[in-house]
Amino acid sequence: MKKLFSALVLVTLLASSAFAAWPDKTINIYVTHAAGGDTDYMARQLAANVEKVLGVSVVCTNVTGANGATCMTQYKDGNNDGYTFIATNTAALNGNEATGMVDFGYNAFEPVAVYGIQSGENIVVHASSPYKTLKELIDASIANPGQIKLGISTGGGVYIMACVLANIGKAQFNIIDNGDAANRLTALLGNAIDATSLPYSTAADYIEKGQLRSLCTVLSKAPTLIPDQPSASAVIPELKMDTEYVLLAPKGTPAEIVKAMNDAVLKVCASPEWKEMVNKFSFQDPYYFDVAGTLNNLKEQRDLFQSLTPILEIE
Amino acid sequence: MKNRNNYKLDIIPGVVLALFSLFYMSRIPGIKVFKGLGSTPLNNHFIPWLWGGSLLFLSLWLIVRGILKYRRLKAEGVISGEGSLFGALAEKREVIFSFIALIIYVAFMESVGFVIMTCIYVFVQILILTPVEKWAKNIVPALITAVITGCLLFYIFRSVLNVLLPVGMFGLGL
Amino acid sequence: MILEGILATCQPLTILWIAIGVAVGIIFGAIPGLTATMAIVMFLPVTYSMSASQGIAMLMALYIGGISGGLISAILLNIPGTPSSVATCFDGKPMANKGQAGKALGTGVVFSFVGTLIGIAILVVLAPVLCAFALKFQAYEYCALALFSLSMVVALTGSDMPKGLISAVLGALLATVGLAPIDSRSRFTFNLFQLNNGFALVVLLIGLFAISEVMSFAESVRKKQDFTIEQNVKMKGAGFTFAEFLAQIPNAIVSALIGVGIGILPGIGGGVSCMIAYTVSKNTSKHRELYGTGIMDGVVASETANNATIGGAVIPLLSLGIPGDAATAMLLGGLMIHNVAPGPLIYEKNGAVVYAIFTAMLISAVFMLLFMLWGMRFFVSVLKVPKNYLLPIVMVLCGIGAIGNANQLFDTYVMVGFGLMAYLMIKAKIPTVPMILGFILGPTFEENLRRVSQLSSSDPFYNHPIFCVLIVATVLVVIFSARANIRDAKREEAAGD
Repeated sequence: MKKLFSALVLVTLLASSAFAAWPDKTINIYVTHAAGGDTDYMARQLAANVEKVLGVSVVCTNVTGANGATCMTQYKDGNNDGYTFIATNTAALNGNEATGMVDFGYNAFEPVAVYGIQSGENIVVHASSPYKTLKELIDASIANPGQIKLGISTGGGVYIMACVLANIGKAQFNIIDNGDAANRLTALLGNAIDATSLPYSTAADYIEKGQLRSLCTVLSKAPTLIPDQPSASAVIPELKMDTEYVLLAPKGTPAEIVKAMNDAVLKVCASPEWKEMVNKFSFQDPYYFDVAGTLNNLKEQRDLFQSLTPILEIE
Repeated sequence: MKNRNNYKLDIIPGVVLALFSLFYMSRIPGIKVFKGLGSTPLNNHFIPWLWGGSLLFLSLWLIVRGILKYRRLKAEGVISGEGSLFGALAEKREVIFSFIALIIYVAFMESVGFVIMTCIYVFVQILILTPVEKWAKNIVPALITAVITGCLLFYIFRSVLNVLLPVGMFGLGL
Repeated sequence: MILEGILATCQPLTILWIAIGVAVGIIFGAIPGLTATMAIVMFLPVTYSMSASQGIAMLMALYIGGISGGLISAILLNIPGTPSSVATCFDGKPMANKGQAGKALGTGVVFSFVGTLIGIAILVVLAPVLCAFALKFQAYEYCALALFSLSMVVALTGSDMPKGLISAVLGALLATVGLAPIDSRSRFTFNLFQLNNGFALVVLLIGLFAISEVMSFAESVRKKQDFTIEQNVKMKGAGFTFAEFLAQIPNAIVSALIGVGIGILPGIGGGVSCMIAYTVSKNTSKHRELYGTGIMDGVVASETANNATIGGAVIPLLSLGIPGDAATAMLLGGLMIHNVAPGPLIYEKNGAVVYAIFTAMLISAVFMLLFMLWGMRFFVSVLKVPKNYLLPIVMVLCGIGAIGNANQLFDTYVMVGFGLMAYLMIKAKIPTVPMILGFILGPTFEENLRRVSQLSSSDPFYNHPIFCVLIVATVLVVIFSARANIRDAKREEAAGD
């Protein structure tokens, strides 16, 4: 009995000393999207600040492709010693699962922290178009079935949005794939399509200049710094697309390390410098959760996306 | 003359490419078709059929052209005997060794690590590209070049530019 | 505002960053396997902590240096350093073989500079007008443009048309591996997630040019005793006379316009622009039979066009916020991070930054010219390095480039596979260059063709005059090139008997 007890103590001591030593070498963060995008920028900002908190270097590396699926497939079963993390966004994480791009969800990882939220996508039309609200646009499409061209990017969050519009909102658009936000913007400016969804940051200047008009935001709640926008969910309750930045660890990473990393992230997110940065970059206030909150938050979005799969008509 | 005698350069690639295009096209029906919003009859099978079909057509063209050339040459009685395959391969031994070295290099890079494999590969490849009679003079410079290349490039790209070069079995937590 | 922009760039520290950027860019461009895009990707995070004008200036410098550096290895090693200098090999290497390596380099450098300047000039003066034109290019127009550019294959292949077409089709076919455009369903990936991204252009280039160059040297090991090619390369000025420079001006202007034109249209890129400029230059020349034997005209066309593409690509980037290729997509990210939102308001909101960018481009171009002219004597000395030492190191660098492209080791396996394929193709006398056109344009064609099929119900093709014109032009190019090829083949046949 005594022997067993001392063995237990020894194991506990060894284990805790192993964790107490964390981190003692370089931490690698694999970023699922390319350098230059918002996911990369947020991840690198986080890395630079976490570095100061933890006192070891934190290195970001981009492993890109397939809306983040390449990186997540590669590192979900990666080294779980606590020095490997994956930075991505929730629309990619949950969206790729819902649209069948990958066959795993956030449960294939140990989620560490949600550490920010995007300025969101807006449904926009050309300024010369007669539609002033989302409702008018949907009604017009019902009046002229298949004639109003809605530009989307098949498979991503924008596709889920279009499916909600078509199936729950009963809209009858001619759906055109235009690829990423920059290409959808080109198509809208060139009058190749009548409406599309664009990140607020992409569309802002065109809206200000009076070339484009925003009908609504698809965020569940308008960004804190640009609050005076109608929400799409007021017209169709299911039309909610929140893109949040999230840090994940490979499956099997010890809970103690996940917690310690989360503490470091929260410390960063609570700082005034971080507030200034996100205010400027995404028109949002700092937005972050502890480990349990992160899990809840991911589950909530996944449940919403999964409830929509019957209308996504993937196969 | 040379230009007209190359019927083999039509028939062999033609057959290989025709088989390849058939293999390629045999995989097309297995591709999942997207039937969701915005799908049209022109789906993700169409272009593979187009390219696969074009390749089959062009390789058949090559085969036919080669056969026509062969007949013409046979009628003229200028078809010479076959050279031995072994002789031809021996003639190309540096190329074959280079490919083998390259394959071993990339195959073991992950498990053994970039530095060691690069040193070995550079050394071996230099010797392959050096005539045998000059090896004695070149062994030491080749060794030095190999070690410097391996270490220096690893340092620059792994540590400074953050490329994920494999550390391998002697990983020191770099 | 203009003055403010110019002053922001003319700070000693900014100029230092530009100089470093140009130098690093040239090195990345010159090393096969490392590209301008990769240089920008690797250094973008470094610029996060700089001031806006420094960061953006450095990115522009990397871009200009990277595109220009590619000519060095194209001419000296017959391996294009970047996709943009594929066509530089066609005449650059034959010139070097004739002992004119210095002249070829000088021509490439000077006309890269000329191309960059023309690009910048058009960017500064005509950006708004050209943007309106670029917006006219949508699915229908791109579909036709891809077909039109593919028809250049017929013009590029020479006398053996079926083999040229096979090469192009094979390229297009390889590009179907990975996630399908539009619906992202995986095709021909054999359940390997590494193949989901498809094959990278740079990996294909390494296989087609670098590995095949090593193998062709391996074939000659026992035949050649002298490993150094050029012992006495004389370097005097830029290597060519003023009269030769003047004679190339019309060629350069046409090529620059092609380069700018292709640059403005997002999604085509420098790899195509140099080949189209080369083809046009060849087919409009009075001595088209000399192309490929080592004449200045070929180097001028390719190098002017690919550098002019830079100015062209920056037009939609700044005025619309639309990146034309991977490199400009990185630049866009770099601008956004420094709180410069490219778009219609960029002149009003960030006018000073725009002029700072123009100035940075100009300074980068000048640095590029100075560095490359100054460095030419050293570049040429690469030819004095025994090839049995040089080529293994080039192979290692190519391997690093393949890994670094997407941070995947798997790409090195693909690289070796492409090398084997290229070697067999060369043995079978199938040209490798059309493959690059097929590889780049195949996906553009497919994506836009499928968009057209979505659009056709509400927007028929006769609403698109540019589409109709391009289709007619494609048919004409195919007919005339095919006729010229058949003539060439007959001439060879006659000469052969």
